[in-house]
Amino acid sequence: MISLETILAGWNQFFFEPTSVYPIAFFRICFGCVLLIDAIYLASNAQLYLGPDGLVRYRGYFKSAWGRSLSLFLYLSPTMRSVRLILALHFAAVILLIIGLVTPLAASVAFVTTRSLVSRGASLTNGGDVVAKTLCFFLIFAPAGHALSADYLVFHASQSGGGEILAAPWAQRLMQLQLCILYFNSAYWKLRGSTWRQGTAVYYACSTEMYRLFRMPAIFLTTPTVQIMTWGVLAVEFTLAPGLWIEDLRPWCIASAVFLHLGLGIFLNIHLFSFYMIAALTLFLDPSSIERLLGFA
Amino acid sequence: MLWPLLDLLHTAFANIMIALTLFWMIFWDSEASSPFGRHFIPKIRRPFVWLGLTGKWRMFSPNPPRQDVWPMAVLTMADGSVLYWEPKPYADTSILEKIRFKKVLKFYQQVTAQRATNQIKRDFVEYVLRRDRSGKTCTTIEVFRITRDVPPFGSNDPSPQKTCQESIFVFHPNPPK
Repeated sequence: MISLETILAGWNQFFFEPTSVYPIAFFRICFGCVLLIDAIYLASNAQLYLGPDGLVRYRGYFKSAWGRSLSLFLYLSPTMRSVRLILALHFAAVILLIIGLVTPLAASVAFVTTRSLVSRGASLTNGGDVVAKTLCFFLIFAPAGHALSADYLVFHASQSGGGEILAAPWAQRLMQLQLCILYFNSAYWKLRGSTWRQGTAVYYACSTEMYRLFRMPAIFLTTPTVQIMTWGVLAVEFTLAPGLWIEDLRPWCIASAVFLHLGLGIFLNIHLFSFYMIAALTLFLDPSSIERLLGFA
Repeated sequence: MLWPLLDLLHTAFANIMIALTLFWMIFWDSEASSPFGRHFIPKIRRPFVWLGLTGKWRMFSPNPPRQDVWPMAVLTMADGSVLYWEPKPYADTSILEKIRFKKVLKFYQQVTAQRATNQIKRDFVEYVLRRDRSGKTCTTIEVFRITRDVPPFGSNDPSPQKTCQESIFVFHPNPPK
């Protein structure tokens, strides 16, 4: 029988044993870049997506969101000036996040503005927006500015003495667990559908015009290819939740997840979901592979 | 004296947050089916919903859609004339337009969803009225859901699928006197 001491020791080791901050710092940069692309996308059509007379009327939004949603839009006047102000704040926070200057503050502001922007267009959002606000929230508590950042040069370089920088990874662990729950739930709910069990779901997903981006060649939408792809998606999603934690399987899991998300991103019009997910997968990279990737090793 | 106290507070905060967040992540979406979730989730729901930590992760579940859906609006003007408004067909939309107006396409899907609220249908009506450049007074606007089935898997029938329409909302911006 497992004793309480063993459970507590495992909990402390998993969440609090200091680990390299390179993965979370690298994630901060990748994730920040996707946030920046998303912000440019929103700003290019701000009046339509966020304006008081945009797709979603302000009055209805205020009624449904007041008291239920953290949103700066609820506390500012319903004008385009407010929209521009929130977007400017968002841009500033995201750029500071990427360069890693006053990172905890930048992450906090980026979370509030991301949450506000997603809340304002709640009926226009997709999975990527939900991933963005969730990961941004956890990033507030992570030591993401301890490396690969301006903060490192200003605050941490003298303390580290050039050695490896370690910190308690509990916020990073929560992000990793969130990612695994996402994959597991996604596969679990799919298994309830007859098209996923029969192996035809990918055909329907790629054949509806409203979700299609690039047309999948017809030869891939026949038996047995479509079944292999459908069951392949389920297999990858089910494998990722445990597989990302197993060191020997991790590179294969990350590669298959990236392949899956690139496929989704090419054939389905799902905005930046694939890019957010690929950025999130960097949380599982080994510190040594990040150093190699950036040419530090 | 101060640093150990701050350290203790930080550790307590981190542990409480980890426990609550993990519990929420695992159970919030299964509240109805899990007795554990049904009892405890309502007690912590408010702050998590306020923060927006409510991802459902159910894309294309349990099945991907088997039909294309889009809205159509019929505007009846005060002079008795009728105008039809329909978005550009998906098939004629370029890749760049699809990417650029993804949120508009999502809006159309939400308006025509089975569980669409009257609020979003009203948003759509006002969006269409703003786009109307006829200069006439609209008395009635009726919104239809247009659907076209995707050919069943394995079907060799080359004829185009039939479209169906269903009225989902009627609004009178300027009721006739």
